Amino acid sequence: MTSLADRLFISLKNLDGYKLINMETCTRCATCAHSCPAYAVTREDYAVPAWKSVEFRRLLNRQRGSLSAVLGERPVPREWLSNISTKGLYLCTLCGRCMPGCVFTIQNLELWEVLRSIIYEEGEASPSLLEIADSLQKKMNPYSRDHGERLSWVKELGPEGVKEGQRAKTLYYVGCTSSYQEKTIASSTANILSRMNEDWSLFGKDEWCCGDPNIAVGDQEKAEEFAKHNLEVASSLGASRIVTSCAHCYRMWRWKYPEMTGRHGFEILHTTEYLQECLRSGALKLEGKLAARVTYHDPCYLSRLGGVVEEPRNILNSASENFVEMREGKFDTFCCGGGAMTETVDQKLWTKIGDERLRQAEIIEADFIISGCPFCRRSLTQAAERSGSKMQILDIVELVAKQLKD
Amino acid sequence: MPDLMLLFDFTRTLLPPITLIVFIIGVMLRLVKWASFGFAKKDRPLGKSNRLIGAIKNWSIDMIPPWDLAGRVEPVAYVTGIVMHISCILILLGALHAASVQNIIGIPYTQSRLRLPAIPASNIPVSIPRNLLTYIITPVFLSSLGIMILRRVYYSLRGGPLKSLTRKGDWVAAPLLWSAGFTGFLVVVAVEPYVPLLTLHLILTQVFIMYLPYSKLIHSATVFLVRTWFGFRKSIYGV
Ligand code: SF4
Ligand code: SF4
Repeated sequence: MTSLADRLFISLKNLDGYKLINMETCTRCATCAHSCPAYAVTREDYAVPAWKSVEFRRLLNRQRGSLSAVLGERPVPREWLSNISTKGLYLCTLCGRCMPGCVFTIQNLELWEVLRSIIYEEGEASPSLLEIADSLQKKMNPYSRDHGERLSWVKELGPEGVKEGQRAKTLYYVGCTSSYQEKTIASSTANILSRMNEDWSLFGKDEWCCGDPNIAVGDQEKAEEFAKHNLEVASSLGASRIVTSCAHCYRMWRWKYPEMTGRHGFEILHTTEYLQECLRSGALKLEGKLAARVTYHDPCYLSRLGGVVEEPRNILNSASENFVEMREGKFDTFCCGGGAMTETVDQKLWTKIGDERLRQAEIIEADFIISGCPFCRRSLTQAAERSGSKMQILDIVELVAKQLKD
Repeated sequence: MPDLMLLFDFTRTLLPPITLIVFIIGVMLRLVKWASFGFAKKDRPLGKSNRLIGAIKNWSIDMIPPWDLAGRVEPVAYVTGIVMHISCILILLGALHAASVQNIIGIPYTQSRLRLPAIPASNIPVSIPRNLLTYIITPVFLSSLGIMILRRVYYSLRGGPLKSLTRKGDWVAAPLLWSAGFTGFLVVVAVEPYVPLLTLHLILTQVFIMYLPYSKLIHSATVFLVRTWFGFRKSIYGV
């Protein structure tokens, strides 16, 4: 028996009727397990996607059962929350593959985000996520790095003469992972933008995290605060369009910011969309097609959750001679393991999923995996290093930057 | 047999309105619960393609599983799931069940708004050949649902993805439906004793209907919303 003190009323403010209907449609058939990368590599019962919604329903039915309007709400035992947090909630990269993988196409991802927010608000989030939350709060990035270091890649890798926080038509939103970890993506993108004679600038010191890690943490309010801040900076710099090289930032700017703060007037482009536009207009000319066998790993947040699928393929067909598709690609893409800050939250899961994706590229005997997201680049590079594979991992902007025609 | 005849009459006279009331209360409770969480309109971003087309796609070509799904999922589970649902719908469209709807709702079925195109003329002729329904579709339904139940039993004992998901309700919904189907089958193939079997069939069926809105069986209605909404969502992304 749990004592009264160990019970609490959870906050259900992020749950709405649409999400609830989605949740109550689940028949616990477990079909979604076979789409889930976390389940594929762990085979743990608690990694089955719907386990989370079954537990979520249990919380909900306890607190707000069908008769709660008459009988009043009942508190839920705290141990139910810690059980969710320690067992299965974070065996998940928030890749969204369990939505098309569900027989009814239940929008599970939104449910996982709400459940994370409940667990976070009640103080039951995983300790590593709490560290990330602290870093986001104090340093505006999830990596506990000084905000002042955010632009260090400019000095280290160039190009020279990059504008920072100045008025421009186009702003390059770098994002935290390219700013602090995968810096070559930032410098390659900056190189391309400069070579395209674009009127462009970086956000500069006013760039904050896009808010995607806040959602992984479960802090939806902070995500909204970051969204508002970034939108204000973009407005103050008089920009009309934002280019980003990160799939997670792209999804936030393009699809989540309007939901959080209302529609904004910016045109949001992922670098693959921008590059395709430049190729089509003739502004971008490439030389020396890559002869090696090249495959493309669709970042979940760019394809399934972003809607950018054909653009990178069009670019790769221009930049390489031997492009091959991987299995489980496009809308059905298999995660790299990097979403939801999994590298920090669950190293084992992160490495296993990364290893599996690398293996899929090895099956088709690719020499290069190209992607469009710093998280994917990082996860797959580390997987290749771990296994001693000769596979080369590049972001699409790195490949294009190398082939720019003078 | 007077008691049995009394019970038999009860299943056809008093029980249907009770079933209907319990069913309607269940539906109302669900609706109130959903509504209490609100359906605030989100300021959705401008989508890349048409919402209607997205919904149609999610109800048609996107229902075809990915080409490599067979390699990931247990094909038996996938196929039995689909076969069970299709055969269940066909059985419900059969003449006898259509006539029962007519009795319960009190409106001639053919004039009812619930009328389905598969059953056209006035006295509800059998649109699906009776023998096909009885000797092919019903056994297919019972076997596929039976496999689904056995699969859950097997994994609950052995471990596996279904184990962590199985809750008490799972041992009610599918077995109840199977029993209703099985007794109905026995009645139609004229297994004796006829009246007790029919009585049992009518009771099981009506308990099933009463149970529906309070259980996971609600998916039979919400699936229409959920699949359509995901179609809308995909149309926003243009995928
Ligand atoms: S979002 Fe991805 S990792 Fe998480 S449960 Fe769904 S399929 Fe699995
Ligand atoms: S496939 Fe869909 S209905 Fe089945 S358990 Fe998973 S989320 Fe629930």
